[in-house]
Amino acid sequence: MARNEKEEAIHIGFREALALILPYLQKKIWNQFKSVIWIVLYLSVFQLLVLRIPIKEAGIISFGICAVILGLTFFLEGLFLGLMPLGEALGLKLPQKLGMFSILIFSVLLGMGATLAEPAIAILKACGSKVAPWDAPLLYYLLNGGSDTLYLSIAIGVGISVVIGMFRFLYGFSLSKILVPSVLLLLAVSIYAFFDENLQHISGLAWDSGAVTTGPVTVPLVVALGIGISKVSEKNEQSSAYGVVTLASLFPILAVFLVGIYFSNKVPKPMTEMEFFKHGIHTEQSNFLLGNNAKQYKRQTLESKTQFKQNTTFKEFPTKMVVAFQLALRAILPLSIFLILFLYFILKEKIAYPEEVQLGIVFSILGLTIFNFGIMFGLNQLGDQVGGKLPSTFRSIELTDSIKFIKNFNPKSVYTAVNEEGKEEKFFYLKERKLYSGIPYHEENWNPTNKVYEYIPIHGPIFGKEDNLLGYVIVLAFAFVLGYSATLAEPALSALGNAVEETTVGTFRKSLLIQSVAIGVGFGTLTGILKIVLEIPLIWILVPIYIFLLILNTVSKSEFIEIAWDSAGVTTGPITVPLIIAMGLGIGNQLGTIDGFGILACASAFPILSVLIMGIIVENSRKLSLNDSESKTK
Amino acid sequence: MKRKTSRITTIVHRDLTESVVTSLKNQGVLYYQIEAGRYPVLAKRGLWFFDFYQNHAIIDMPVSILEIICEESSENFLISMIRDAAELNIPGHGSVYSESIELISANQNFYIHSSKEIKKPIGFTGLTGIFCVLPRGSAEPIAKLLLQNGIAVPTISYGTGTGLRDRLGLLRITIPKEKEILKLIVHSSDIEHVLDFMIEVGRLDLPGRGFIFEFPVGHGLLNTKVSLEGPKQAASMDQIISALDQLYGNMEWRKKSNQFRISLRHRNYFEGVNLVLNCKEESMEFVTSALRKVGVTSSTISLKRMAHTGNTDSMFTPAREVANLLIPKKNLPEVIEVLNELEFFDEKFEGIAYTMEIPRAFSYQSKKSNQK
Repeated sequence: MARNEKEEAIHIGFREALALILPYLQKKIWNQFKSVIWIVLYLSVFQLLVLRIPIKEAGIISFGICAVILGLTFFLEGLFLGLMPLGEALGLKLPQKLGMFSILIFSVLLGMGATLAEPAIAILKACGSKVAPWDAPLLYYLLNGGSDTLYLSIAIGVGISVVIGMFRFLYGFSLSKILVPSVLLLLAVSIYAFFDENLQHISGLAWDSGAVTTGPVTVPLVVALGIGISKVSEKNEQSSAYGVVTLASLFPILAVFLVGIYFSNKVPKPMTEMEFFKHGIHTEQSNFLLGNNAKQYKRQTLESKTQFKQNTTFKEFPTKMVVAFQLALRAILPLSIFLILFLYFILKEKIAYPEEVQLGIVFSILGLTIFNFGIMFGLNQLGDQVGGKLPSTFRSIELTDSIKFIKNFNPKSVYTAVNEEGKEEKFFYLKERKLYSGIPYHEENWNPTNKVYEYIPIHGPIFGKEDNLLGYVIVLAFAFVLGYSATLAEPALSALGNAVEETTVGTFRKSLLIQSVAIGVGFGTLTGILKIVLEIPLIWILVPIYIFLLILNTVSKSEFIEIAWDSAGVTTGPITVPLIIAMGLGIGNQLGTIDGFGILACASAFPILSVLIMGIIVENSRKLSLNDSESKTK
Repeated sequence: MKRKTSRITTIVHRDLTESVVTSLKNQGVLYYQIEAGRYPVLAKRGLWFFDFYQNHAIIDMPVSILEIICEESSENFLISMIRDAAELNIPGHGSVYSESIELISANQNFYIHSSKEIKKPIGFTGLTGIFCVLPRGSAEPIAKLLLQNGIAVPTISYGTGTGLRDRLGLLRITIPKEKEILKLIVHSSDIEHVLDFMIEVGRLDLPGRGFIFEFPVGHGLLNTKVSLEGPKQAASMDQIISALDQLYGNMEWRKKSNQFRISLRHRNYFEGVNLVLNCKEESMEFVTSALRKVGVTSSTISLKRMAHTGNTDSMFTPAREVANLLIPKKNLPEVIEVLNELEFFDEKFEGIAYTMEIPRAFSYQSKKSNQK
């Protein structure tokens, strides 16, 4: 490079360097602190004041939350320094140097690579262990034996959508031309799936995987690439760079449905547990569905899997740290090496500030490591605790994580009481500190051999009787605020917000975007929980919403349409997804639903609505600036 | 080779971009620069006592900033054409003004527009523009004060700054490079006070805050939309101002000088030329680093599009970087030499360069070095 660093560089002493670095760090950390603190405060206050259960392992959790904040700071800074400039540089140079075909191949590779690196996808698999193979065989297969096929199909879906997005920028046609047919196609496929016994159960998964794919690695990269390409494209007059993210969350849905349709003949139909174990399936199907584990698979295995207790201790720190580091490395490194090699060897271009990009990549890896680690220990724990206990507002639940073992228990101390209906119930008194409390006695928890009684405390219902309305209302309100405040902390949204503010020169503020998206996610989460509680089929929610959105599209401006649909894909990232899924599972388990999927799909449909509505309001004030005096002069 | 030409800057509400571009196309203008920006207006007043302190909020309107380089003789024609296309006599639609520039280039003549039709000069004379670079986020409070005092409607766009930052090595990431560029046009008689006002409000006399300069404007029609508030009378205040402007044929009657308190502080203004460099995006870094050798240390870079109306094939890559460099006049030949050495005007950079006279500029200057 032509630059001569040594000649011009100012010598900066340690103290001056510190004087530069400290305020910089302080500012960046404070920004992330502000975004994360709401969800943390909310979860803790809710657990302490509404659910009235003490927070377990509060020390480790607070440590984890600090890690989340620090990790986010580094990760986002790394994105802005490293991956985004790289993406934009590639976007600028690609159309200038290469032909259509090469751009096409590059886009597919980039889309697939970024998706496979996305950390949130692994969460889908984690839910797989909670599905019973007899309730929804196809869903079970896709999440367990066929999970690699599932990932690959999602990645191909994203790859194809990146290609279409890039074509859109190069030829400058409007987003609606792709959006309307693909949304209609998706709705049609979903309706078809609704009438198929097996496919019915994967529509939740399909829509959710669409929401999950676009996370903090894919979004900034794809948006940056789009900004670059749209800048050099002659045909793109308004030079908007958005819309790829939404395609990247629509096509995977289709891909998952297609994979589901392909496999649906190979798996048995849903059946009861009894049938499944007697003679319900052929050996062939059983081998396909359960793989080598077919023989070992026994009834009780499921029960043990549903207990996802994580009693973390400080001993696990190093191993988890390594896992977090591996995840981060896998997400960032191959992708950035691919981009850099492509830029240097195929395009033969240089980046303006290579050392900044390198530092950015290091920051992203470091940040993602700390962030993953913090998520494992901090937010996930807190979310699981609250989510699992949430149903206690309307139903009594067992606090499985605070089991007490009463040694030398004497069965003679058990009394009999009579309830309102005249039935006899057994109980005993337990002295805890200075309090005597009556505790129901269950025969099965008594172990006569070692004389230990296993006491599982029961909590709730906090508000009134079992299944009371107020309890449900509180759960819904909780869902709204959870969705809202988790979205504020979402890193991909923050990155999108920055890009939007930058490209619209501040006429579309980041805070405005984040606020309206968060409100949308709040409503979406609420609807998702309503879906689980009332067992509404997903298409009853999605079909009307998406049709309404398409109608709303016709009255909105293209600028807002693109941003609104993009923000939908972005909303569900590493902070929202685990929290929402924990809550969905907590409630789903209590109510005995088959799969907890579909909340994410709702949570990403509603932000489109809220951003579009916000856009219409903003547009009105803009019209006012043009029109009010005009109408008077007429 | 130097050549005197004009630069027409049009700032229109984004919804009107389409019609301006269409009329440019119809008139055979080949190239224009386009950049996104915003103009702030005071929001409507709140309900009842919520607005007790008359604390107007700011709402930002998106604008497109178009720049066309043309022969001096076609200047009036273009201005009147743009006025008609965007109906600039209505407040809120935008502004258009011309500046005199000196094009430094060997072979970019096709870039300059010339039209055969010649029109009478329109718009007001006696205007001066102010160009002010500030850190991101600082433009808003200044814009608000400018609007509340009825000085002018500023236009804000984004840019990045280089300077001290680039000599820090990797530590530069701790200093934000993001800048906001605030441009406004005022009557020449007010210029001293407005400059002073902005330096004071923007605290430009502190290190690292940015810089400000004034530039001469030929003819101009200005946006008068200050507030979103609907008219209480038959015509809104903006309309009355706009009508009076047209009646007088100038803005002299709006002179505000006596309203400002006069600062007693002596300011060290300096003069020079504003060198505008325009090249392919992602290559300005190489140009500015080469110019550092001849003492040009700081510049403000903004991203623009080199759009063409499609009447011929475009000779330029649309994605452009435009740098504003403020240099002393005596350094100009030296700088041009460096540009030639770099082959700035060739295919590698697709560069365009021109200069504008800067009668007065201000920035923080440390006492030791008087580097500009």
